[in-house]
Amino acid sequence: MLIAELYKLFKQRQVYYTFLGSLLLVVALIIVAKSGANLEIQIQTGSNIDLRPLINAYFVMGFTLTAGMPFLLPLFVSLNTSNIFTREFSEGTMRTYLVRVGGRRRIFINKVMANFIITVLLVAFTGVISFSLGAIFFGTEAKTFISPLLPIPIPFSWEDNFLPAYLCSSVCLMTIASLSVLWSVTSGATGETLLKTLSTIIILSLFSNIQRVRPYLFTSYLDIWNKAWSDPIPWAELNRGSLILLLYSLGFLVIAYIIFSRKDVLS
Amino acid sequence: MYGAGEPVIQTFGLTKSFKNKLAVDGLSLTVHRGDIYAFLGQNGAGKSTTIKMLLGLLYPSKGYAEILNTKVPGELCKVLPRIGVVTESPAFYPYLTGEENLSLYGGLLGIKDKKKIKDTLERVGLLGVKQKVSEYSQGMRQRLALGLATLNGPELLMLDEPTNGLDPQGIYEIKSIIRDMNKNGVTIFLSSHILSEVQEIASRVGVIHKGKLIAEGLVSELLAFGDRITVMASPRDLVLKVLKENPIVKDFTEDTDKFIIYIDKENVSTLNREMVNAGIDVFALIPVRSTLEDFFISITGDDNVNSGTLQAI
Repeated sequence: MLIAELYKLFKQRQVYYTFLGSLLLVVALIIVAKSGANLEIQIQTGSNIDLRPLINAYFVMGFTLTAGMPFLLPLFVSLNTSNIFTREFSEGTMRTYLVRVGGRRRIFINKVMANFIITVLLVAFTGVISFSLGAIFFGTEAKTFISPLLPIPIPFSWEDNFLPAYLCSSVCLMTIASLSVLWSVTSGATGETLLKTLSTIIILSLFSNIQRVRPYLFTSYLDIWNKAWSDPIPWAELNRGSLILLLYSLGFLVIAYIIFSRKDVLS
Repeated sequence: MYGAGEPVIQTFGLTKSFKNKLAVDGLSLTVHRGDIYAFLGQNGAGKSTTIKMLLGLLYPSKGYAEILNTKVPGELCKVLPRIGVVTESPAFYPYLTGEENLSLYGGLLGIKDKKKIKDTLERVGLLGVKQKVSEYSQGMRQRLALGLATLNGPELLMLDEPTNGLDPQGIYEIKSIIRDMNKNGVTIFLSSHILSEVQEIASRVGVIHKGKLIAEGLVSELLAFGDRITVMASPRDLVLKVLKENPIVKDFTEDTDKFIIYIDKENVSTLNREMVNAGIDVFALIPVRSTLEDFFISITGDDNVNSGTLQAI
């Protein structure tokens, strides 16, 4: 059934749009970097540093996450979730699926797995495409990486920086995917799922500014991936944040399953 | 085939309410193996709601059902491989072709044989159609749905308004397929509000009205010859005189070249004799068989449902 879910997913044009969106994001970043725009930043000593000579494939790869994670990548993930769940309800195919294949738990689990797979694939694609295009246009030679958020040149390492950053961003996006699953089983249209998911993230992100509630909101941990650029890397914080996000994911999915298993399929 | 076998569908006080509306009210029906059971009712009577409850798409507010001796919706998964279903307005993945849709479901049902998919497509007249389902007409979707429903060789076929949106040729083909499958031992449970179509193929009917099952029985019993005959005779004036003056004639209406007479069956020969004795040339005396429509209207015509001599529930 998982293969059937993935087959259906990759037969939908909308899914390719999300990958195309990631590609366009990378292309846009490269165009900006190549255009000779002022890429000077002020480092903590107060002096300016010109980033242009330091830009390489690793920089593009890191900066793609910085540019994509706040909005675009969650949007794409939410779109894919809508295609997996809400679209089936709104087009009536969930009814055919249920009466032909049956087993709501089986269907739910396989759809969630397909959702996670497509999310991880999207992150991996973003990483690969940003590194590849970055390597083509800027090379891979520089031995330091400028953290896009923390403007200090640090020695980069695949294992210590990029892998944890991309793994953590996958965890962040899986949490968003789980939230989307929750909203999608209660929505009648794909747009509704998108709106509910993004609104939830935006509103809770605002609440994350209140120190008293901050530790309890999942949105407070959606930027943990950028801790992988810190020097030294706060592994304990990174692990704790990832664990909290995974627990939130589990919570969203359990609630979504309870709703899905009791839902009357009217359309 | 006829419905003399074991029960394959049984509902026990099945009830469904949506907020304040009672859609199905304590429904208890039985479909036997070998039946072509027509589940009749006006639009909104509760037919689709009942079928959706049987298929686990809606959860009953009260009561339960059994399909092939398996309680549903709890253990529905166990019986799904043994049944075929055509839901009302069947939906398929619009971005796949008909063959891709069938192959997808076939794979999930454990049908690996591509020939079986092709045979099914051929049976429903869709072999070689390369269009995506989004470009299908309603009739093509309906036929694809029937193909999907019969893909796994079901022993029970449940069809919700199977002729919806079909042209006369399509309706004829669907009825042929239903008849053939029933001859091969498949029990058919179909809902419809088009009574003339159902009358030709159904062996048993159940009538649902405002959520309640108000009649159930064999079509042959429900549609027994009634108390009407068609008489073709002349001269007209003399016929009218005999009919007006004869107390055994309950009522009559005149059509262009015939009279529809309401009379008890045992008095028909007496009337014939009296007409001949009165010098009337009687060309034909034809008993009028009730139609499902007559029957349906007689029991659902007003709120005070009169089940009369029919098997009232």
